[in-house]
Amino acid sequence: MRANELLLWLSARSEGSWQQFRAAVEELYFADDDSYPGGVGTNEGGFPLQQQLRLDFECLSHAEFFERDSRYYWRVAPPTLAAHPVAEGVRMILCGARSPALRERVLRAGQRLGCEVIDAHGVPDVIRILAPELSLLSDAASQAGIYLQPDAPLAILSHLPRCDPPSRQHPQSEFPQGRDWRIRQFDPDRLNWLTIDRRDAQAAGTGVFEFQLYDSWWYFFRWKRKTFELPRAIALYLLLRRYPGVLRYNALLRKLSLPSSCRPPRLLERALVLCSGFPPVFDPATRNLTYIDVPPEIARLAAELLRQPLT
Amino acid sequence: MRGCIAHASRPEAPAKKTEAQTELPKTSLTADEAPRGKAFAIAAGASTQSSLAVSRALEGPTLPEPQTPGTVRPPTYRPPAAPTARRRASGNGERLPSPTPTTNADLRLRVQLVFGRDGAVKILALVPDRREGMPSELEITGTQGALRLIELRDDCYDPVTLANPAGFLRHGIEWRGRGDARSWRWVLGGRELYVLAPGDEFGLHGFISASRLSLNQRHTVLADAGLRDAVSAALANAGCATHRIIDDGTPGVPPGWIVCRDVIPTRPVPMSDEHEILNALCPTHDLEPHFVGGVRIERNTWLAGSPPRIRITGEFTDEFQVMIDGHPTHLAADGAHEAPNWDSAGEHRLWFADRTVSYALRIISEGWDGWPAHDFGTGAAICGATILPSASLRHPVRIPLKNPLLIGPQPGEIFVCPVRDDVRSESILAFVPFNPVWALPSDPLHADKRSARIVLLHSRPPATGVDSAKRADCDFRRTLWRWIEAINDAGRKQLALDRDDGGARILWKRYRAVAKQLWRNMR
Repeated sequence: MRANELLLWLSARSEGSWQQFRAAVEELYFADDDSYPGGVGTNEGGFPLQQQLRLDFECLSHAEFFERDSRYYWRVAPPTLAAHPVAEGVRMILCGARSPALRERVLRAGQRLGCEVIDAHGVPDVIRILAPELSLLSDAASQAGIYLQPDAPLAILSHLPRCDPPSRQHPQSEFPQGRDWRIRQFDPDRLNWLTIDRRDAQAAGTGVFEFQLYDSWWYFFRWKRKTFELPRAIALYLLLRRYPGVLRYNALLRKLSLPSSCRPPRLLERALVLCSGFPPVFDPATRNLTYIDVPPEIARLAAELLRQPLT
Repeated sequence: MRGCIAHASRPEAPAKKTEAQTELPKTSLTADEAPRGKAFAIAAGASTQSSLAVSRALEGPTLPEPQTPGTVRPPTYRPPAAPTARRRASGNGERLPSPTPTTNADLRLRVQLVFGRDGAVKILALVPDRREGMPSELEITGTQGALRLIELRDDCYDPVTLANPAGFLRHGIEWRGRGDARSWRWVLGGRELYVLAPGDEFGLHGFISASRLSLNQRHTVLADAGLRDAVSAALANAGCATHRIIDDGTPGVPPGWIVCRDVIPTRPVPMSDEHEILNALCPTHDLEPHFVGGVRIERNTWLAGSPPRIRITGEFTDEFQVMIDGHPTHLAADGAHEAPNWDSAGEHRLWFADRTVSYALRIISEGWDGWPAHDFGTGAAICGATILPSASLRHPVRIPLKNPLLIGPQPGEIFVCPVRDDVRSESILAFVPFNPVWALPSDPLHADKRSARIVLLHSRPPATGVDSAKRADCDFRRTLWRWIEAINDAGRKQLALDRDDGGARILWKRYRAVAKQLWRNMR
């Protein structure tokens, strides 16, 4: 189970550069071809394994990846028991840094409650503790010496801004110059990317454009003939305001689905993942991502933040 | 979301990318890889790309294929020769780079080969050396054109995939890069035969080129198809019984080359001067330690609980003995050396053949602090699954959006939660300076009696008295007055309780009584 070892490595190092993370993935996964048919370079979907692990570790709240002075770094998040209400009571998930001793303490504290360790494919063991009420979990967290975050998914969503169009104060941008950029436009009808040329991008009144050169991806939102550089997911959901039906919610099964091309912003995704402790499930047939165990209240608030109706 | 890694820094405009193609001073080649005259040239100016993408690199850079021989002098490999004539190779790998960087020093290009599960060659790449002080990203030029190297680790850059490697392997490669004050050269000597050792010891997957075979270790041999018979004979001579040969009919094997898998030499073979290239297939009898696997934190330090497996390769005599911390070792089922407490936390010393190698196992120290990783100006920052409120707001509480006025058990404990008007939601999680008991509508007196409710958050009785010293404080008197008014207004309006059970009703009555009493006292 290489992901467990990678989390231990992150916890031992605490922080480091993206290159160090990549090297650790290389070192830990070199013999793990059985887990990833494509080997260490790529996983089943052809997506680089180190990028997949980054996304998983981010949405599971184990680590933060960030940019500083045009360099990329990671830092392990403090250990936290992220609680959220479920039908049977309250459930908490162990997130953040781990050491063997910390893991033991959590398992011991959760022994008298409903504690489960789930070997999830490709991610560190998911450790969850279930109790009829929060006070019992609070006692268990104190016993383990770990901070308890009540209502973690709601807490995260409550502190996220909504996907709103850029304000007047938002600085405008220009498309990057140079011939070698690969330019694509997001097609909101088909929910995929189409290659276009620069003139088309410049002539567009509204749209989301991707500029890619070497290992850099830049996203631009054209709105009222102005250009704004925005994070990919924000730009997409701004565009998709006029295209409802992206988010599908099954209240009975508590499942929230969306097209994989419309992956939500990272922190919003983190809130959805913390409802179950598992990363979204990708269905290659429908190319949809499904988040499980999402309560109606969280699904509605997430949809509100994305400015999408739930269908 | 602003700091999310999906947004890589803006690279320079492509036009600037080729500025690094500057003529560099000629440097001397090393003895191992001095050119021998088979000149060739590679198509220059072809676009190449860096492999690393923090955002989303899907593939590593790919070198364009070489063209016909031309003007550039190729570096050519010099095979191992008899020990007396040559400097002793260091360890299992190829010539190690000098730890002290020197101006214009040459660096290695190691060959990496990775098999896929179907037995095909999945990756054939070059791993450029990196030394201390070298930039983490570097524009280089070579016979194949411009290329960008990106740091993988302290000691190497990202592997560069070979698109059509037959020519590169046979004729060699030379790259040049220049930093602010220094220049570097990477060299792969062209040759007809490569010995590759397991990459795990180098922290790389697959197999990595080495100077020659080591006894009792699994290798891969990459050879010109013309050497097939000679290679087979040499491997048989070295006691390799289990190897398999695949040719260029197998996907990934370069045209005109063969790959020998599962090469495990079992007896040493002296090198000869007749066919020097085959000396790489003469297993060295030198004893070498190998620390394989585990969770490595630093160069010689592993995580306690995840130690490496310790193996020693070479020619063993009957008296051969290995000790760890003074205790003789025994061989585990996988052939690794173990001794009492060999895997306990702390420093350890491995002793064999009058050599000592130290390694350490370290326990994770639990000192992880939160930091405001994502702060959107909402009064609290997000870090992992933790919400970090500002210093004065310590108590997280889930409140209904329609009831932002919070009342605590101490008279004067009143707080109006900043309400989001941009989203419709039943509740949010807010941070308040005290443990609230009641959540009231923002203006209880003017709330719609039909829909507005008094919500019990936590059942705590009200404090009855107020410190007289506090009463003298104007600010406190103001908040105390607001506390009294909020409760009285909700009572006067006869707002219904959200949870209409007996306990809540009695508690609310007690709060009303305290508020009325205080109101009388304050008049």
